[in-house]
Amino acid sequence: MKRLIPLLFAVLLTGCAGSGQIAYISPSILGGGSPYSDRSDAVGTLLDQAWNAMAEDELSRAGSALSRAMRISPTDPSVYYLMAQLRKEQGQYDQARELAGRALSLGPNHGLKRQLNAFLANLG
Amino acid sequence: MGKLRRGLSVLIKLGVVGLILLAAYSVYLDAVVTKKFEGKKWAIPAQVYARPLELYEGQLLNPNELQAQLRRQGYQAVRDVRRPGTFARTGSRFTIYSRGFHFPDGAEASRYANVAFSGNEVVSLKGKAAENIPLLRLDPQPVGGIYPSTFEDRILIRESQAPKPLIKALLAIEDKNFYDHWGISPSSIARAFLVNLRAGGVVQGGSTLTQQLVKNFYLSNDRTLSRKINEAIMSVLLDFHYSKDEILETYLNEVYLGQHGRRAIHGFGLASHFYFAQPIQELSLARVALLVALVKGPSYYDPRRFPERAKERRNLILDVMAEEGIVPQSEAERSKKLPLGVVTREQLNTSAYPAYIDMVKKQLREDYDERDLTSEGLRIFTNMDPIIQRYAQKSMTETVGQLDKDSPDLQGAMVVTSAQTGDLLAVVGDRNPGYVGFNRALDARRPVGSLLKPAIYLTALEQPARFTLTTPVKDKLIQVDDGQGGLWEPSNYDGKSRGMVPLQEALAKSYNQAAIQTGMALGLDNVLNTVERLGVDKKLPAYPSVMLGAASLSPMDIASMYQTIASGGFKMPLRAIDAVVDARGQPLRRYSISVERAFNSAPMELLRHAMGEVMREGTGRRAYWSISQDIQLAGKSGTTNDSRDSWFAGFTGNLMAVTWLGNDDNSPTNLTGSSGALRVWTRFMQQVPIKSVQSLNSEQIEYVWTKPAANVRTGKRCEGAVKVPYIKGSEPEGYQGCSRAVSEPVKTLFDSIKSWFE
Repeated sequence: MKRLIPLLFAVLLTGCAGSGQIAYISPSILGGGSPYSDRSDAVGTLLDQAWNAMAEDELSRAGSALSRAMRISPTDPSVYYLMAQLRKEQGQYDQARELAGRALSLGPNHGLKRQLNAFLANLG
Repeated sequence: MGKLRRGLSVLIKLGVVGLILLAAYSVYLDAVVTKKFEGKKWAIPAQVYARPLELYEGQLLNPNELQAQLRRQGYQAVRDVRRPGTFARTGSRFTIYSRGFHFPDGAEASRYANVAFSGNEVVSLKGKAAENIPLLRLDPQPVGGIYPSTFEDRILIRESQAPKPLIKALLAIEDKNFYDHWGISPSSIARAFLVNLRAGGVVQGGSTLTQQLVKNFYLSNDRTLSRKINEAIMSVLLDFHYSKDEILETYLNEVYLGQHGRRAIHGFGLASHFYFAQPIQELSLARVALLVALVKGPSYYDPRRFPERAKERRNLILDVMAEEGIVPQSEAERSKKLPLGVVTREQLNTSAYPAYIDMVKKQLREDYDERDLTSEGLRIFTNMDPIIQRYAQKSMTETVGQLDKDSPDLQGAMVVTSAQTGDLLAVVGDRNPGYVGFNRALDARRPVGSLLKPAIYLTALEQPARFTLTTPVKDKLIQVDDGQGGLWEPSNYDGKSRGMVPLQEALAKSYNQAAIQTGMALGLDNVLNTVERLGVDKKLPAYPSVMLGAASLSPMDIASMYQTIASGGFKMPLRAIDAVVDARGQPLRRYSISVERAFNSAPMELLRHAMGEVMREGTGRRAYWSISQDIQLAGKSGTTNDSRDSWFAGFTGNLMAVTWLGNDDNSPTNLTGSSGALRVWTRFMQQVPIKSVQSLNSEQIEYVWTKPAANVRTGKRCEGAVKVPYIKGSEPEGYQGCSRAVSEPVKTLFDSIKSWFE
């Protein structure tokens, strides 16, 4: 089931993008497990920790995990993306936008780029 | 008879008055005793920590560096790893038993891990049962404190944290009767006399622990009778009010155990770190005995200055411990054969990074009162990377040592950050490590020479219709306002003017006339605005000479500016502090990354390309004498008039560093940016793990085969063809094939007329 969620996520996004709508799904709405739960590398583990902390509304703990991930892999766009989502949860919309922009500048793959653009459009 | 009676009655009356006075005085002393004991007992200085070392698969780290770092943190090399704070190494394999630590984001448990390296890379990280460990975070190295004016420093411990033999030995030596007396003990004095007689020297004092505590905690150090009386009364009062355990715990934290410059080492908790770089729970019996030995006279028995004396007394303590049955005789004998185990001052890194701590203090003062910093026991978690910091200082010290033949007072400063996140990793403020005083990285404001040229060309490249990397710019004589009512005629370093040169070459070779011509064509205000957008918050005077670096800035200011370029156009504060927690471990504040896009990726990518050319073809090329050609670097050198200042600022994909060399009295050094500061920069970068600068992801950029000197497109197989990035639509219109025939673009009438005037 856990493996299915990212897939579901992608399908949803593609579907919506195709119909000209823009969807952004926040982790808390998604409900299920973290999309990073399968990762066993250092950054993946920290992203997973951050995601779960966000789901439990432990935003400061999520921030710490993301800062650690950023230190280990400072050019990984997915770290900046999750940090952008965290800032949005914290009501810091400007930082959310800037961090998503930073993620886009770091050469995200196609799927992540779509998500980032959707996220930015959703921020307005 | 009457006289006698009258005399007696006067005496009695006097006696009563005396008793009343004594009682009143005792009440007063009682208030003194309880007030201080029940309030906050000590001002606890803020403790500053370096960034913790994190181990994970794929991490680039020299295994010798790991070992050195473990040693600096007091990890003991052992054969059999069974306790926290120990490790073993066989070749490229380590077994580490990490210490648990309470981080701002929660507790990190103590952990057993096997770490395997291949070369300088961690290739496997496994637990005891061979399970994969994704990440191992070690406890952070303490790197300094923020002390009150008394310079009293201590780390509080609870009585329960002290090793049992420590307390037993302390009582056996200092106060055998502690649990039985009332604060003072006449019999102790007699016993001490006997013990000393038997030992043939003074091994035991007559004062109780309570008296010693009262003496240190409440009273001045003068040896008057009245102080002795106060001490006695207060000791009885203290004993009356508080439990033995409370008194003992206070003693353990109060006792003076050493001196480190102006900093006074108080309490066993800090002493354990000060002498052994270990938490007190980890101390071996021999080390416990040494700490107890020091109580009698920390300077007389200073184990660093008088190791023989200290050892003799330590062994005496071990003998007493065996005699009293605290430890078996055999264990005492074994411990007596051990070396003192004291870490050297070099190893003892606390306060070894004053330049970095300065920056921490500066950032802290924006949010905290000086008094809170020196008394509330705050814990400050910084972004200092102890390994990077050591390499930075080492590169500075060694290079200056080689260069200072001509100017023996040559000085230097250096700032290192994480290129993508702005974490401040290292600050060097002096050629000598550990120097406390003028911090050049923060406070030396010196003319920056050509370091502002990237701002000129970035301003140009933001106008793709006018400027590209191959646009010819004028390297010709020009007269500009010198800001003092006269005219100024800048010349190039070699005195020659080159006519028209491609923009990227003008930057790479650092031609002054081309820079000032371009800057004047763009407008001084526009260039200064770019400097500000890049992150220099000091207002620069609006004279043309400022564009060539007549303005003075500190290495830290330059670091802010180049950080924006290193991160691809995002402005971000340089962060020395990661988090602050209070004495109970509650997080007070986090300083997480905040970014702000200041420049579009496309012009920034062009500038970064040109700064790459600086390293490949220009004034920075000597870096590639020792760094692999496979690694893309970017940077800019700076030299001021008569070589008074030698600068280099540049970055790799992961690290940004600014280096400066010069004399404090501003006399010439004979060094250019390339022959001085660049050498420090290169020496540093070749020793630490670095990654290539990556091209920025911009859809507006395309790479075109070009002959830069002619500013024309060409075929990729033609001689002299190079791939140059352009903002789409700005590539040269003209095309020159391999046969040198130029197909001119169709000129409009306007272009022709314009060319008559050029």
